[in-house]
Amino acid sequence: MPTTTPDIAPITGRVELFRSCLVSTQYPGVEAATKWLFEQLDVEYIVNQDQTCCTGLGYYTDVVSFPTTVAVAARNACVAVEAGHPIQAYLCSTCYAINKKARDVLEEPEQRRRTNDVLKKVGREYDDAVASTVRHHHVLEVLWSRHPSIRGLVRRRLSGLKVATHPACHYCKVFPDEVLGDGEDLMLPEDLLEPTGVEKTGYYPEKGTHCGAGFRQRFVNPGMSMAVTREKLRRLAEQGVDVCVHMCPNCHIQFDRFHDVISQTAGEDYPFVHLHVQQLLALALGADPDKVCGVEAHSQNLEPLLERIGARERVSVAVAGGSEAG
Amino acid sequence: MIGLPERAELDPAAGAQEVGAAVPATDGEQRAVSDTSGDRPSNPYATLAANAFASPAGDDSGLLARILSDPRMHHHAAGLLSCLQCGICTSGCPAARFGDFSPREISRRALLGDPTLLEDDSVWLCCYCYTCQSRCPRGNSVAVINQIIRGMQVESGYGLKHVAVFIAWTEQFYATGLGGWPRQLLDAIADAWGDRWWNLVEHLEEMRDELGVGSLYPSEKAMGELRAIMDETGSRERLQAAEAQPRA
Repeated sequence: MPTTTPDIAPITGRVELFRSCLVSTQYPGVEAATKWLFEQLDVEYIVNQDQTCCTGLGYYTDVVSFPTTVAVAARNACVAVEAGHPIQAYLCSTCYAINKKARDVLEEPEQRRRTNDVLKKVGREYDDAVASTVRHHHVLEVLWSRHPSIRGLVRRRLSGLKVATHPACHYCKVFPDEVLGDGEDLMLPEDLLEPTGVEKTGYYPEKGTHCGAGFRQRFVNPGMSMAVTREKLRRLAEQGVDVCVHMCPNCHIQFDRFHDVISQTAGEDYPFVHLHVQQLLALALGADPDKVCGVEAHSQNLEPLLERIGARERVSVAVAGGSEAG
Repeated sequence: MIGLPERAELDPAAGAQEVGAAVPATDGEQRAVSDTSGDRPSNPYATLAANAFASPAGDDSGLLARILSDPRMHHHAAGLLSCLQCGICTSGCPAARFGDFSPREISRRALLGDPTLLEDDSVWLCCYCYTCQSRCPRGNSVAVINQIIRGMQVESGYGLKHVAVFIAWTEQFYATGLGGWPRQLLDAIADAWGDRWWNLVEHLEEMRDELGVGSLYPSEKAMGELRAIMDETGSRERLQAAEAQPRA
């Protein structure tokens, strides 16, 4: 299957790896694997403890007001620019969407003035210099901008491993004109993994359907939430996939934590597992499944997959500069 | 009633001469909702729809004007005003498919300024997946309209029953600077997740240490600024009344 994700120029500026509350508390290996990949691919980055959570879960459960969310986003932009790492790279698609929404709203003079009235209390200002310097990218975009380097770094071939994408709604649908590729049939994750030898799935029925989490719905309407997730699991099973890859931790929770629960309740077999794109890519490039990818945090048993791809065998790791590390 | 548009009104060149559609702002003044598409001609349907729906008879409650003037709607205002009722939003909506919800109806009622939206529980079924927005041929966003209406319901007190269980998020965020799903919410559903989940709960800090991902929490400086922003924007006061509400 040919690669369809458009090439982009390498994102070479200084990156702030934007910390995600759900990655931090549920799948910390996603952050560690991303940092490990950034190092392999020579991305200059920092993790900034002065950055706060984007408020996304609070906003989308309707307990946080929009002015609060915009002010927090504006502050985080100021912090990234102040640190000299103005490219905010998001692990979570909701962080990505909410910060971009704030970016647009802050282009309106009245909204910027109101937000700056709030920021004045903390001695900050979202001014033209900040607005023109800060950039917003999903982590996968940063990695894709370096994809020509990946082929030479592969240490564990994933030949024969069939991979499907669960496209994150808040990456694909909130700013559809800014998606890298087709938001209705996102191939960015699979194209990123192509040099590892995976078999790509491409489009499948229900590919664009959301994960079922629906923010509040998982907690207050579990019947509706689980019905959506079950439908996706059935469709993925029909495709005979081995791994469904994710680009948003909230989707990842919904699938990884409920996969076996739904399988047992529905009496249906879904013989595949869930991983973040960065985790699978890092494993292919030789990363340790525990110390880098944090597989212990997952609810599914990943050992059969790790055995199959040789991830329990230590390999020497290449780095972008051409040298090898033990 | 909207009559069929005249041929001249459907001509993009003719439309280009009319830059915006006049709609009433909250203060009763007329303001222009400009077509945000840059060099493209303005949308003739937006003009027609604005004329039809923005009259006082169509928006007695002022609700349509409030929705249109919300900054979240600025890229979607012309889209709402030109809603064709084609139903593509409903056809792709998971809450319509698996629940009793119709984004198409929400759009129709928003255009009419229907005040019963402010006490309509169905808006709480939206999953915020934005499928409606991404597929709408006019650029409307029912996902955003739902955010605005839910906010109005919270602020009027009607919607507090729907957010009561999520107050814990705000409290956790204010206290620790950490988002994430609060334990109170997870504990209610996580029994089925089994031993591996409880292993994570008990050993998260150790796992994070081994992975070298640093502290869970933002810096003290960040925390202080965050609390000041939350105080200044009234985050906690907004929800205090919800504490006394029955849980939905």
